[in-house]
Amino acid sequence: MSNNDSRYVEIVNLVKAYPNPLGDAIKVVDGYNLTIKKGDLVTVIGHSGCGKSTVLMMLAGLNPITSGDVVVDGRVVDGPGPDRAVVFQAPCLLPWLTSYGNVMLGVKRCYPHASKKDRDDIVKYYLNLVGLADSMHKYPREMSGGMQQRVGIARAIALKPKMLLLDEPFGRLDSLTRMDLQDTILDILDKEKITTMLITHDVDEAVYMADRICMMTNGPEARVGQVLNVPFERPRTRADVTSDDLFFDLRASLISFLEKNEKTRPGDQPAPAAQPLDQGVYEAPSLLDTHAPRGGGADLVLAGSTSGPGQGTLN
Amino acid sequence: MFSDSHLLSPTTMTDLATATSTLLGAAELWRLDTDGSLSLDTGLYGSHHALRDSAADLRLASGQGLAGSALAAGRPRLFDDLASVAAPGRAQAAAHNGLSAAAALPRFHGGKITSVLVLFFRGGGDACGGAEIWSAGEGRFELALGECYHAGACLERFARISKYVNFPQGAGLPGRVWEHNCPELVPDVNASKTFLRSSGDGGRELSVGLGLPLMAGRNLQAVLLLLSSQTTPMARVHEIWEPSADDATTLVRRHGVYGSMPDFGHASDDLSFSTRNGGEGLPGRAAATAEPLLTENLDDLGIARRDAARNAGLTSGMAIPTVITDTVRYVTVLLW
Ligand SMILES: Nc1ncnc2c1ncn2[C@@H]1O[C@H](COP(=O)(O)OP(=O)(O)OP(=O)(O)O)[C@@H](O)[C@H]1O
Ligand SMILES: [Mg+2]
Repeated sequence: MSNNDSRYVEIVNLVKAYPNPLGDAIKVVDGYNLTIKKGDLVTVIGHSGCGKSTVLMMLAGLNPITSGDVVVDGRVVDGPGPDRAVVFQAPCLLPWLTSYGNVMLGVKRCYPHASKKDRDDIVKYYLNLVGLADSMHKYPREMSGGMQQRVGIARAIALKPKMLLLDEPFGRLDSLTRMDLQDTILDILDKEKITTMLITHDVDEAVYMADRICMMTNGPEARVGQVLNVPFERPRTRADVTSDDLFFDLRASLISFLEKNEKTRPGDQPAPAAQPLDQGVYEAPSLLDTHAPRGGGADLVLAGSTSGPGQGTLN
Repeated sequence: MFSDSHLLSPTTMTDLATATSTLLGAAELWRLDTDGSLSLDTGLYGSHHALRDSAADLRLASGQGLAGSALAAGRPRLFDDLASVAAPGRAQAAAHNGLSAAAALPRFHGGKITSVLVLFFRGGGDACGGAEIWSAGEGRFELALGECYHAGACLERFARISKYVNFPQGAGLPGRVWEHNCPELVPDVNASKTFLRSSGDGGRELSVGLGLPLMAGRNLQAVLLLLSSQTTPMARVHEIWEPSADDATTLVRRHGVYGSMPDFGHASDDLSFSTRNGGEGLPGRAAATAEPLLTENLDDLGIARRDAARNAGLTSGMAIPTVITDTVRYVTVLLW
């Protein structure tokens, strides 16, 4: 895998601040860093309101970035584009078009030079992929929420995006439908290898679906708290994954991360006090002062890299 | 450099040593000689006489022993199986003293290693805590767990999960140390928003967490995490000193964790150490030379807290400067 593929998506020092009528702008997200490998599925988990959708919308180019960078396949994101397809909790289908018509809308835009026959094939291929071969000519009102969401997914994937951005796509579905759709998406991704970010509130889903789980800290100033690598092979089956001890370890780790985040908020940072605190702890007034060089000051040396400092100078 | 063993009578020493057993059991500073080999500069052994004796007259070539392995690798190493790396007889000596793991941390100057600091960690018995080296994983701009030592069944699950954890810049304690190139102390990892690695039931026993940036020039090579538990803290005192904002030649305390020794903490309140003229005390001298420093002389902790140190039964002190392109930014002090 080339270096570009291992850093297919790079989110660097991402900040989102909203104006605050009462004072300084509020940084909802601050210092969010994440690198995603090509073809990986990253699930994002964190407490409600921490800023998951905010990050996803900045990746989609639908919410302006305050500072920092999002780079997808070497291109800096500066607005929405067909290379990043978004699926929300509610499918937002056009009610006057059938599922076929809804998918065709995007296909026409994405393949303007394809023949009518080719476009027809493409639409049918993707509707078939999401299991709607028999419901191509149904209108949204004639379909269940799960079926509508399948149309939304087919519409997104038919664009052949570099990145799929899914914001709680199963959030409104009952658990059986949800599991069904999870497997549909995993099947599709096994075939199409689209780099995907999936926001979820469901711990099991976060582990089962992911190559990596990105856990976000509570806002304001939310950022990545840690990333968990999920080593289960693909293609996966639910039975295999959920019978593995590691599944329970990873799950427990996620839950305790969320529980801990629940209890500790940014205000819990050691209180800035010039006085010695109780329990034998002394904390200087400025926790992270300005003369500490920021990240830009030092490069990270790859472990085991032969070009690391000190190498070659010691023999 | 070893002076003043008279400061503590043998009886008080044993009494207090059994009161709190630290995970840090011994430390050695190995210096690179002109012929490219390493010789022992100083050592802190407490009652670990076998380990002290095993170091006598030892010279280590690059690749030999703990310090030599770090020298050859050109990066920090951590060994949880001393027998396979330590110089002949030393693993047995360490084991005899209940020491089962060690970290070897090279110190760089002008792109070259000038010394290697070796830390020995206890194992077995009630030992609970750990040391971890976090460095960049293959192709990823994130920190991943490299060599590590987790003592005690209490950390079994924590250790198992940690293998799967990565930290981007700014994430978690290692990510913050990387972001700021600044050592960071977390007094209670269970109550901290900075330390979020958790593994269900695993790791509840942990108390103090210390993250140390391991620098080579202006590059961060790795982050060393030292994890304490209530029963076996890494050291009894953790401190971070930094040049004062008003006077860069005076070190003032940035952060201190004193656990069960608040008196010693209070005695430290108005303390500062000059770095002029060779430097004053443990942190001042370490800053003046930009080299790690080991001492058994309680005067080095500051005259103002010598008595408190003696009352608390402290015997050993270690200072580790964080040097970024030839400037000492912080001095981390561990006392036990
Ligand atoms: N236009 C806005 N102005 C000010 N604050 C906003 C604005 N939009 C969102 N926020 C705030 O940003 C924070 C993050 O919102 P976001 O929707 O990204 O959270 P989330 O993690 O997706 O939550 P959920 O899990 O509930 O979907 C929230 O606290 C929200 O109140
Ligand atoms: Mg949301």
